[in-house]
Amino acid sequence: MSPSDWLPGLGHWRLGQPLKGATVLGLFLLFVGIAGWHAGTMWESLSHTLAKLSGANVPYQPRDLDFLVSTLFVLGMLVAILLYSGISCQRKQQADRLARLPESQWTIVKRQFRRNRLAVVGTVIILALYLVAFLCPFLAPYDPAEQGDRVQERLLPPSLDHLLGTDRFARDVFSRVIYGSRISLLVGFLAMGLAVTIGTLVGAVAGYYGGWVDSVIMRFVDMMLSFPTLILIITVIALWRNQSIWIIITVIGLMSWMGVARLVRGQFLALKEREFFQAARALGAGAGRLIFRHLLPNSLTPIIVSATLRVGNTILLEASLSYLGLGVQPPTPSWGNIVYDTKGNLFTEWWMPLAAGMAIVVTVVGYNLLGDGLRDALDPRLRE
Amino acid sequence: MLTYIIRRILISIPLLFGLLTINFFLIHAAPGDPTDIFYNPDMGPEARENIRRIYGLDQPLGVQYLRYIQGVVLKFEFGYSIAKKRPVRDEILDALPNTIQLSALALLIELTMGIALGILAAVRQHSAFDNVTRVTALTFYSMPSFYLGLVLLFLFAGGVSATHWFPASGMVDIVRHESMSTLGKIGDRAIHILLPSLTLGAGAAAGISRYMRGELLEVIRQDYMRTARAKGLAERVVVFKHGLRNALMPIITIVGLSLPFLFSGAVIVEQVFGWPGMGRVAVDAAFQRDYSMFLAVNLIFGTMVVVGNLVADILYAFVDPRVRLA
Repeated sequence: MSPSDWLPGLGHWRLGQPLKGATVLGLFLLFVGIAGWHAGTMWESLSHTLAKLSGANVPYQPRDLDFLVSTLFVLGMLVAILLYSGISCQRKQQADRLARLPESQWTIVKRQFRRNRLAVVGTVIILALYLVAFLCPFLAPYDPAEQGDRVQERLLPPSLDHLLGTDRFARDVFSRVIYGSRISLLVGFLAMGLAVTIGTLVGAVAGYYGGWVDSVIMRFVDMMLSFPTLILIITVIALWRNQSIWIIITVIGLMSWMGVARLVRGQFLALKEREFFQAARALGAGAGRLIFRHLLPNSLTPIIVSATLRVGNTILLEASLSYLGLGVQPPTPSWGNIVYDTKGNLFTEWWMPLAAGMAIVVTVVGYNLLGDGLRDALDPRLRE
Repeated sequence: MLTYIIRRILISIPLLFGLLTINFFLIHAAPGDPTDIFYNPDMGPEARENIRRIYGLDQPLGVQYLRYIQGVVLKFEFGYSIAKKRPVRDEILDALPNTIQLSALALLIELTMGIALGILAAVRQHSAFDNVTRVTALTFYSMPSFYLGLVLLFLFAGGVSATHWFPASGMVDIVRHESMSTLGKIGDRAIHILLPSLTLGAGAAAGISRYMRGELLEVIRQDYMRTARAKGLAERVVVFKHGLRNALMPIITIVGLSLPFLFSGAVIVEQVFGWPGMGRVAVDAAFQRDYSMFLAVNLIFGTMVVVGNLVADILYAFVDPRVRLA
């Protein structure tokens, strides 16, 4: 272990992993660059927060919180990269010194995944988008909700000042698109999480207990599956007249768990026939233990794959709702409501709706590539 | 066969009944009141009560529910639309044919495009064509339908002046349609429906083409395919007669399952292209809090999906003698 290993990239390079070293170094330099470029803003954000925390009577707005989160994220990433490069080099050296162990399941999966070029592209897209979402205030040149001079700066064409021009309220569209990433990623992630949790629970109960419980639950699932989700969601959101992002996430989650429930039930029914399950039951294990220690861990792979593929669908649902004007309300930008706002300019300032929509497509493609890659890598039958 | 069909229809009835019930109580549990639309500050509480009485909203919820069910089942009445000031049934009878037209054409595009691309990709597995369709299908599959609609509008309906071939919205040319000849009227409708149905069909076609490719690849590995080739049949006969017929069967089920997505998509596409169908009715009802309209829209879409699935199941039993109709 030489001290140089703690320098990002150098250790990996020395240990014969130049590609990994270059990636780590690149990321490190990226964050150093951001930290250097925005050093003033970051310092201001931290001192402002400290002043507020120590009880000074200063205004603290949501935008200040945005800056604080991004500042902490940048600092955290710098520390994390330093620690990672040191620790992973140490591990690598230890592993090299020991006798070659048989490959673990994860090593095989990782190698399979990396071999799939499209899956790697998907992963990079998704990671880059999360990076953008965390760094919004540093990447966006303007405040996304701030309206410029409505006479002089309205509907400007793209230029170096405004990469995607300005909308009819003289807001910078590029900044809005950058901030919009947050809504899509948040909705995609949380709604999917909710749907997968509900679906897993329902499917587990149906699959484990079987019999009439299973029949009743699955008939209900069939019923929910046979109706156009979007129309049910529109009904609920319109009637409750509440379009906060949390309501939208909850409703989307509550309406899209059925596929997961079916999947988990099928897995449970198959696993219940296996010897290990019979053995555990014969040893007197209770329902909770059987479900959470034996059945669920063995069903995790298909759940993860379907969860990843589902994120894309929830993002599309949120975008469709926003396009109908039933999503997150302005001035908060989401990709869907940017398109909704600017669709009237399609024939003149076409770059606004088309760019925001393109962001949705790229994100969903990313998630679908990632999901396909995970499926191929995790399923031993699909390996070459 | 007949008993199977009757049994399937009998199963569908409680399904629709359940949907109606859930929707009814969901809608009445929502805060606010459908008579809000009549509200003005000068109105006294009695006037308001009066309006509620006229629309039967003063009755207990249970009574309202039974009355509604009675109306739907016995008289095919869906109540009165407060926002549109006419019976819900009339409004729906105006809009439904338009949506069915759009969806049917979209389904046709989805099937022809999906199956054709799937076959081509499967017979040329791992070729450049296969890879290109894979990436294209993924992109279309990941595209919100409104985005595809806007792109098509931009390219072919006004954004690019060199290719301004199609009208941007509506079902017919509202100024000139009446004065056109019969042939002209048909042509007018055709150019109006093309972009919306293409938008609706293309996304679904992407999914179908992937399924089709997978199914055909599965079938191509079967022994009877080798036998067919071994006895000297032409490749075309092998693929289309022996392969395709077997690979097409699961597609019927997939199409049945994709119907809810088709109708969800129709809501968006109708909004993009100003198509006066059920999707427009649904979105209007959402903004105007038109309770009875909502219930009817949900019920109609539900019925269309259930009937679609029924047809798919029966067709499947028809083409595949292995399905036991017990």
